Amino acid sequence: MKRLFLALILILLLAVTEKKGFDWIPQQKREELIYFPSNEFVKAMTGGFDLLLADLFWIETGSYFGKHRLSDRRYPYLYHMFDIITDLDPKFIPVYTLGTILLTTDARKSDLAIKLLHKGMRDNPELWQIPFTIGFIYYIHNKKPEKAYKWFLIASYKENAPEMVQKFATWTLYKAKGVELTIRLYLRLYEISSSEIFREKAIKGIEKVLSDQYRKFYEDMDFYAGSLFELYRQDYLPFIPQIPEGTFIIENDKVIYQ
Amino acid sequence: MNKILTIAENTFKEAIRDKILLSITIIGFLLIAASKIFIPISIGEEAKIIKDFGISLIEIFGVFIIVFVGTRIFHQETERKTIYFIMSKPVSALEFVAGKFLGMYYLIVVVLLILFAIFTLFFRLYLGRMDVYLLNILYFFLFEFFLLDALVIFLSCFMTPLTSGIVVLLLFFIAHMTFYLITLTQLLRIPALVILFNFLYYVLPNFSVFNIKATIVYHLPITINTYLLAFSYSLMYSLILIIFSSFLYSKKEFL
Repeated sequence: MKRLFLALILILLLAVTEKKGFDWIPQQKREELIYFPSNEFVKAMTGGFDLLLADLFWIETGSYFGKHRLSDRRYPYLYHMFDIITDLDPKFIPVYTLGTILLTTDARKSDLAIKLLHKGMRDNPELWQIPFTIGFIYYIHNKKPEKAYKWFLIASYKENAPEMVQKFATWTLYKAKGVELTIRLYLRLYEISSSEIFREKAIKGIEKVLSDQYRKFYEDMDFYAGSLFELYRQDYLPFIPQIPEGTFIIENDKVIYQ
Repeated sequence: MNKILTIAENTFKEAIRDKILLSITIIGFLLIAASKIFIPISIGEEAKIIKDFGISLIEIFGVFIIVFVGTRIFHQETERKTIYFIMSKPVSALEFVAGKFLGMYYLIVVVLLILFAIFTLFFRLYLGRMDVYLLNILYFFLFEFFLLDALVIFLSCFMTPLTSGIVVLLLFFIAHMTFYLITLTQLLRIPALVILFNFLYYVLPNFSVFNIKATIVYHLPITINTYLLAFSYSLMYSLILIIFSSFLYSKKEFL
């Protein structure tokens, strides 16, 4: 009878602990950091399954990003997650090319994005995509075309670098062609991304540039341009960006993609 | 040699009837098939993720089969009393151990080929293409499991199935970390520990030679030395273990 009583008390205590106790643990630490080990020994502890763990962390990072994008739009552990993934799999290129764009645009940590890209360059010196992404970040987000030029130039020297990279290097040098380069960079991001998130990001980027030019036209002319072609004809656009899946149009005084 | 092959054949036939083997193979099949669930959440990395999951699952299930079936291989002989029948025949301990080892290895090879075929089928089904380079992984898995098989046989000679199972799993993980022992010796300043880690580095199996999954997934070139090292390392280490196992087995008392 005594043992039964003791067991009941223990069950009760356990229930209270499960119900209340876990709430005492800070939410983020419990849910997010627990899966992510520290960098030092992570590779040594995987038992040969580095790639599998890197993939699981990549999926987990996607879920972490999505969760915060829909809530507070703060990503304090995004860099750490990408860092661990690239420790486990230094050749996981999308982390460098696409992950760093997220770090820059959403987490607003372009310094950490560049740090990660430098790490990527150490592990993958042969790839043109990594210095190209550094150039992209310097040009679009940090507004430093001189630095961007240097990185585009480095990217253009890499084997297999498309001719476009060399052109970017030249264009960046001529800062006046800012609109053209920005659109071309976003189109390039769209082309190289197989993920919907990044394609959407590229389209939003182009929409923003076109909208800015559309407003600029209005400020200068005092009337709105009727079409993108009019913007092009009046030299407000160097060309009209084309994406096979849809078109950019002006609707209700806004540039949209449909 | 005939005796060894006869024992191997019987071991294979016995093991293939094991329900655990069937369960593991079915779970492996289901998990490889289920890798499709990662496609929508892989953020543009479908091919890489399916390759990584497929290859890793084949390795994990190969290890499970060795652990669950291999560790009971000697124990079953004693349990079913068939060991007395074998002892009454002119079969040496080395022949017996080698036969058991080979029989178990046949089984692993068959399961490995089945799982790999399933993986290739689903890869083709999900991504609409084949990746011939992935065949390389079979070569390295064959030698990795060869060594792991020898390790199980060796441990089963003096441990219970449960203990040897746990030790094999631990050794599998440690064997993938052996490489880091050298790094530790460089960091440590205590001479006794440096000697200990150096000793462990050379004594413990080193599976980093078989771990070329990244090279295969990213289609990086594999040097001829890597193939040769995997082959020679696995063969030498396994033979040593089989010889030690036969010594241990000959000293074993069954009555």
